[in-house]
Amino acid sequence: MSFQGRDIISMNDLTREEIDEILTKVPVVRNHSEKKRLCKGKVSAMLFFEPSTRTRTSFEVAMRNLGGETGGFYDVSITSVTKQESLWDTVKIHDGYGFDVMVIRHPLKGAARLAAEAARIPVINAGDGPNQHPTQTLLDLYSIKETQGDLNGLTIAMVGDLANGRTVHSLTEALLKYEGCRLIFISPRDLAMPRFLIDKCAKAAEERGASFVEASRIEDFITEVDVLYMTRIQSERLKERAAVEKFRSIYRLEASMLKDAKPSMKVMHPLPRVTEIAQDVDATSHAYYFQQAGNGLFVREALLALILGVIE
Amino acid sequence: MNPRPITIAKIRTGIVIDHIPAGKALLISKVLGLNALARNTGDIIAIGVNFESPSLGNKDIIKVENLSLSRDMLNVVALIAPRATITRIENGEVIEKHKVEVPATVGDIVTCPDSFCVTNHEQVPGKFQVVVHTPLTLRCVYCETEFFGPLIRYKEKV
Repeated sequence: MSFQGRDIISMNDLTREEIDEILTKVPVVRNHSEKKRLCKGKVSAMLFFEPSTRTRTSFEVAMRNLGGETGGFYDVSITSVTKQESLWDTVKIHDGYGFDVMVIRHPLKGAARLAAEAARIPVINAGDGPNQHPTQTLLDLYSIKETQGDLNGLTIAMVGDLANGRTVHSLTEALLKYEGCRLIFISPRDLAMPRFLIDKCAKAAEERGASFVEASRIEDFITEVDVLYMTRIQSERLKERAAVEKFRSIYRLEASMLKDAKPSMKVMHPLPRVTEIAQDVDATSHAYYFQQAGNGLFVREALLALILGVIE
Repeated sequence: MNPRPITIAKIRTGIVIDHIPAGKALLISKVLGLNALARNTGDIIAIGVNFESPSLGNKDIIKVENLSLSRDMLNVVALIAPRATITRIENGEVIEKHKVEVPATVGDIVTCPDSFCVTNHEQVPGKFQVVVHTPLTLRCVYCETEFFGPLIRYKEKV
């Protein structure tokens, strides 16, 4: 299985075996004795049409940790895009500058797929609007596997805005590739998991022994979950401010709610968090969101090394 | 009941698209760009709406005095008229007759319904996978949105 030269655009493009292979390579690259020289002479183009903090920084540090360099832009207002240059042309031009890989974030859905068609070099999607953010999903899967030892047979609760959050959609689709997962979707009814994903869960239930339930209270499931995946209620998506306040007070995790949880249970969050995880949770053994974010660096190092063909 | 005498004349060379559900012929004509074809070639296109059919009750029919439409191009008819038949006629002889087949992928004949899709903002031809035949469900290759029913809006070429 080789990832050299391959685009990473959507989790839907990756088989379970390919996901496993990438996750297996994370500690290999992280602890590689020649790590500082792996990507010497390689340069990554960073095309950030939209602001980003964690994704951008971790890609930059990942490339530096491997001995490579980065170039490109993080602020679209200083580029020719303001002169109405098309995405296609912007990608074509960067493709011609001798970069070895391109990392793109764009507010429009499908922009990364289009960029991959325009570019000869491999393209990594660092988020295309509300559609896909595959490196986030890979780091979520890596963190789950790291803490639970396996991705099969887990009980995972996803909490919050399940209607609009791309991380929970992508994570759900990825987990359905594994055997016997139990998914618990906890959200206000207005922000429930989209129907097409519920349909996919039902199909996986028949084919791979998955099960799922839609519910409204975290407390009802706290004793059985292996991973509690919290998400932000996205205030920009809700019309009424009062609704935001109401949902935020209901879907808030506090340390006192975790007393009956399994010792191995971990709380994860794609971050940034607002009010959905109280700060007193940070001190518990269940909090894992900062390690999870840290894993983003190691997962991106492994992906870059695989795509650039510097490790087998 | 008196027979209704309106018919479409036989064509000597060309393509007959038959067994179209009543009312769909004009849409098919626009999706295939038959108007532009006629304008460019001077060929005659005959469109019959609401003819009587033993199998469909009522049906539409299209006759194109031109053989340039390929089998692949005509398969998009299957999205709108799954039971349509294609007959190729040359010098008055039927040279080929087949049912249309729903293609696995379709090109720039549909608009992605997602307003945040890159295809609605950049000059890029749409590409779609057919994920379900009934009800016809398409998936945008770019934004991955799946859609069906009235969300499938065809690009009508005038």
